[in-house]
Amino acid sequence: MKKNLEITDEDRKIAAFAALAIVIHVLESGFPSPVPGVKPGLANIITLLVLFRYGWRYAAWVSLLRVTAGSLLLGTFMSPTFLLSLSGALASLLTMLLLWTVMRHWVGLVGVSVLSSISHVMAQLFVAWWLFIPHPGILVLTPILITAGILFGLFNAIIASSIEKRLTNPKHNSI
Amino acid sequence: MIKMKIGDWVILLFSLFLIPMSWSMTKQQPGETTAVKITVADTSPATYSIMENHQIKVTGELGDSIIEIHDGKVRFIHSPCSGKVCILSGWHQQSGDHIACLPNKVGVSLLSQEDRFDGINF
Repeated sequence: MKKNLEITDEDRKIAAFAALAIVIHVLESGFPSPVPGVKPGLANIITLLVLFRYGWRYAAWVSLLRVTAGSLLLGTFMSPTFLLSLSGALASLLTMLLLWTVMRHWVGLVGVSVLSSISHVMAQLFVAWWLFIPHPGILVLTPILITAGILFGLFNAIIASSIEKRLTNPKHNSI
Repeated sequence: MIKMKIGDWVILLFSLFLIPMSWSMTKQQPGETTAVKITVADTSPATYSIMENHQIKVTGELGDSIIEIHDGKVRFIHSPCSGKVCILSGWHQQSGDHIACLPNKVGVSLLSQEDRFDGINF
């Protein structure tokens, strides 16, 4: 028996954006970081753009595909790194869902980016404490991670909004 | 410039408030030390409550070391060693801290309720 898998336009879009996000994810993992866990999370720019252009369902697909495929490429699938990455992605997707359904008309890129970044960091901290390092000492990382999360959330929102501008208004393309 | 909606401002203000709050919260949170474990070379360690004030005299490799527990803090007050690093390190109260006098082979560890691991590495 043969089943025909229909590839929809939606599938193509998700695959294309996920591919972009995966490339950013893999490139970023090559950069060293002064504090373990602190990194800009540039791949989230793609998730943000997809959320604002196509809605939450698309964003969830892109984000989860990125985490899964990215970990397969980096060889961290099912490792602690992967679990932390996944928990962060799930938490920020939940935050996006909440913001998207409840107050879509009152928030823009900045709000969504910063708040989802905070929830990303908090979820990772909780999972790290729960599964890997059940020691109160890990709480010392909280302020560092929250501060970095907020700053990078803002940074990503600025980049995302400048990309968004170029996407909607071709005039901006010639910098 | 980026378009900012009312919700963005609210979230931004909230996060600006969150940064100093998170820093001050973790500062005021010293690990709760409940007991002090004193180990002298090749003998089984003895554990003392941090709440009781007393001085403990232990005999190590070189001679007698005196360790003082006072108001939830611990320090060495006498040691026969030459460097006196253990005494100079002063008071300790954070759980997970260790004071060691290597020449005299005396170790002091501050314990808390739950310290199964210092850390796990993969």
